[in-house]
Amino acid sequence: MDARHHLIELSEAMAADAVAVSWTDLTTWMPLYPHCDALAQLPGDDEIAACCHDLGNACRAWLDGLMEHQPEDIESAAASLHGLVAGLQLMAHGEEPQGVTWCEPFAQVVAAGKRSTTTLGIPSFIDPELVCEFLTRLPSTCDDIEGHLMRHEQTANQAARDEARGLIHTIKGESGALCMAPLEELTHAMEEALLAKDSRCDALLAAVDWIRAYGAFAAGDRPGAPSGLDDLHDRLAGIEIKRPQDGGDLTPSDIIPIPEGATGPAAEPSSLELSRDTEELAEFLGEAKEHLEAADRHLLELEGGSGSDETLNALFRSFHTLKGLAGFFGANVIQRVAHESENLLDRARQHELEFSGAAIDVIFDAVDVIRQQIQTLTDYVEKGTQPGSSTESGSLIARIEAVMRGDSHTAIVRASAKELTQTIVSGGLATRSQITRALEKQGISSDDADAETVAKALVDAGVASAREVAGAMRSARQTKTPKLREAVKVDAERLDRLVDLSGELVIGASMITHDEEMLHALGDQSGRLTALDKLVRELQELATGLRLVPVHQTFQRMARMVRDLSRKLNKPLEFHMSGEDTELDKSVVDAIGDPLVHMVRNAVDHGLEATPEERERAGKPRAGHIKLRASHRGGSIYIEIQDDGRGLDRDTILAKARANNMLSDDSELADREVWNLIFEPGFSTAKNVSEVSGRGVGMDVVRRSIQSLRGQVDITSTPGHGTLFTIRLPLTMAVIDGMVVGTGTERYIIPTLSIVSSLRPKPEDISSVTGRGEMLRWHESLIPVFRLHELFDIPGAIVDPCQGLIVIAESEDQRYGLLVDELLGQQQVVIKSLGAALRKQPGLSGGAILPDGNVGLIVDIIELAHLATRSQRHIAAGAPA
Amino acid sequence: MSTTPSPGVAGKYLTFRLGAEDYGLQILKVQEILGLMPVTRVPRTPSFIRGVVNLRGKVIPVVSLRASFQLEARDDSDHTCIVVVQVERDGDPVVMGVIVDEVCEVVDIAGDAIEPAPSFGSQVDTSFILGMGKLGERVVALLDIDHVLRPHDIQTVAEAAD
Repeated sequence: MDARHHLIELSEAMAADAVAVSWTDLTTWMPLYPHCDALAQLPGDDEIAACCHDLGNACRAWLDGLMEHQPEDIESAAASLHGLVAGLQLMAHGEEPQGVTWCEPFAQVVAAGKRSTTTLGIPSFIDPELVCEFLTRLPSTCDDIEGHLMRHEQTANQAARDEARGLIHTIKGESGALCMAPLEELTHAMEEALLAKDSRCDALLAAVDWIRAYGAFAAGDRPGAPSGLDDLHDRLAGIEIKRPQDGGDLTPSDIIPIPEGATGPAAEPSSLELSRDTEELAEFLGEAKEHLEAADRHLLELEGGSGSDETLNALFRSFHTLKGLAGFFGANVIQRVAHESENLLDRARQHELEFSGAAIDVIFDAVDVIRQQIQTLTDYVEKGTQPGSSTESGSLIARIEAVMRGDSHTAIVRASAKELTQTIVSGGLATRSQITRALEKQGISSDDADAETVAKALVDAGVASAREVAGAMRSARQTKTPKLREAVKVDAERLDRLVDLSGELVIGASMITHDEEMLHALGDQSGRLTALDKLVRELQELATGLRLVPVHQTFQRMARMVRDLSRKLNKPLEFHMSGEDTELDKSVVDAIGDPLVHMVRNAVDHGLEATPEERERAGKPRAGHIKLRASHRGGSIYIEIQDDGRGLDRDTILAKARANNMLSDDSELADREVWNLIFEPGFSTAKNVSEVSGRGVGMDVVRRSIQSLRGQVDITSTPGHGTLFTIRLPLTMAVIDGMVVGTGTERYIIPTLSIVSSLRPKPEDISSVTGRGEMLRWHESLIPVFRLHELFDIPGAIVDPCQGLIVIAESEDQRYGLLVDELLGQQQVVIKSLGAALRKQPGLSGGAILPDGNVGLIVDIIELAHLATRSQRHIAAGAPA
Repeated sequence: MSTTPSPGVAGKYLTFRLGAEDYGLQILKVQEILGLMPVTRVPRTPSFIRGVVNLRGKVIPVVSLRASFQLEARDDSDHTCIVVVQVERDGDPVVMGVIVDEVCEVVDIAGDAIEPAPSFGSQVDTSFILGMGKLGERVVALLDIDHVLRPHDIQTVAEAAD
């Protein structure tokens, strides 16, 4: 092959990887390294090769330099990369290299050079294990914060904001304890920014990115510390720091009087400025406790309906006093909570607000928070323990505000529609069909409704009173288990051992439980064996489930990417996700990320119309819709990416395929076959990568990576209405449904997924075609037949196809017949590697432990077919013609 | 080719028998000894690979040492054993089984009782022998099992057989 040919291949591969490059995630740049190296080593002695050599080396240096760069630089680097790839492709197609001026941006990026590489400077007295543990958790915490921020941005969801704030606050506390000053300062600024009325999500998300990068740097995964911290601070602080207020109707007194010395309301004053002496403080604490008890009593009366206006007044006074005292002592948290509660109670007193349900709840919680704070202070006074920080108050204050605004549902109830429906139905408030009807009246399908809409619909339809629904909401919330689940990180290898051993245990147990002698000897006690068997099976089920994790995190990455893309490309977008809780094997979840990025990117970039105006002309809403769904159907996991864009263009694809000699001119293809063309390698051999219908860029990579997960990808597309990509994945990488077949003295396993049918042919169905071997006539088509015993050299097998069985298997739209002796039964088997020494055996995809404890080998149909066509040994077999 | 035994060669060996010959395996390489169990043949592999067995949920390849030393095949007996060894491949441990006629004992062989592997001329490769250990009247060929079971060779042979 000449250099040019190599270059064409290389530039295509580079183009594919360049598409996946993200300026927020430097790891996406890694795949480019090998290409650069390959570029530098292009064979040949012509001008192109020489030019490529220099270019490859420059590229590599450039990438190396990039790793120490700032996000801003990387953004421009991304642009120059695309320039480079386009230039390469031009060159590959014989255009003048033109002194490779288009790679100049590199030089600049490289020269921009190594700026800030501050060291962490963590003092030695800090336990490195704590740091390590913190850093391990940091990325996933960042993901969570990101998710909450985006939810907050989209729906102004207060609860989401509070969750984000809580998490940020935790990072702040921890980084403070670990002496990571930059992180502590940044998170502090973030907290303040979150409280801003017009909270700018951009700055906050950028800050989250910074934290991620900082974490990677601290963990040693990144050579330089991220820069741009000052800038971030400016962006975060550039927002006027105001607490969120509902427009207008709050009096100026709502703004908390900031005690002297405090820098701002968000400076969570977990510690006191203990200027007062402790005796006075002790007195205050005692008094506060009394007030809290009184408040509890009054609240109970009010909730029980036996309270009067006077009770409400007394409650108000309790909080008022608490606020005053707390202010005097500088106990800011108590002061703020008391202040907000007082505001709420004041409005209730004036009958501007009904004091029931959510309002009572939130005041109860306020009492709890204050009590907790008092306890902390008491501990301080009595034992001298430093008060820890509290994360509760922020979310509580937000909830109080929400109640005052009247949108208590969103702020307080975090129960899902399903939970609410369940509570309502089981409480006899309404029937399921009533709920559905009420929703239909509002034009909402019950699938889309959240708890809020369900509640509103019920009230509007007059099915239940607002009070009853609110009550149901409350109990739904209470029945909801807390989201926080304790997790333990376990070495994956140990986990696999556990799975292995539990599998062995099942085999061992079943050998005992099926042992006639044993059963006989046990007599009446044999029931215990059955119990043991059941336990063992349950254990195994549990063990196999251990590797499953929800796709949530991967999906969230997409949400973030879509958001960023939408800004970048100036395309208004609505992104919907569902089924994030769907569980998949950890390795699959990890591996599916990159292809998904690719496909979602493609959907936004090419799937949707270029401009909102174009959409309007097509009679669609300005905002494009992208849906990402995960679901579990029939033992497989489906992930779907749907856009409502212009759909794939049949003619363009066909023209392109013909131009690339992928098709003979006269073939008539079904839609599905046409769409599948975009997965073909080399489909993107266009001069201009960003050509409109260029959905093929890198799609072959996508399909390959999905296939390597033993999955499939399918396309449906309607011109003008959008495209749907469906990815089907096995539930776990570890278990497959297999058909055990016998041939001679040996047994093999064929994945059930690939089996279409099995039959015993009649002599007239079998024919021998010269040069092509045996063929089976099946449903009007001819299928090549291979003999397993010949391919695998198995003695004692049935030779006459009409005596044995032909298993018809399908893979990649090709059908093959495989002659075996008999089917021995279907079996779920755990796939095992054959070990490093036998890793790649032709025709086999691995081994599995059969129920009798012996090893069975899993047949790889595609490989087997290749093997058979290569050897063509079956021609020699004297099959009946 | 002959090599001077390094001091590291001295130590404990598991001795076993193939036909009339005694061999020794460094005890640190030996993971366990199993009685013979059903071995699943793997098609299209060289003949010295007997197949794979299930070692408590893990599939490991099993090699017939007789076949790999090109000794004449013999039926399995009650004494036939699988010695599970851990060999190194590119720095990673790889677990394999080795079928031997009979396992004898664990012996301590001092450094001065070990002679370098004899040279039989260029025709015979003895690089897989660490040395010849003298145990009274008997002579034990001490095997460099990493070398004997160089998984790379197995792979190459497997590909060649294809």
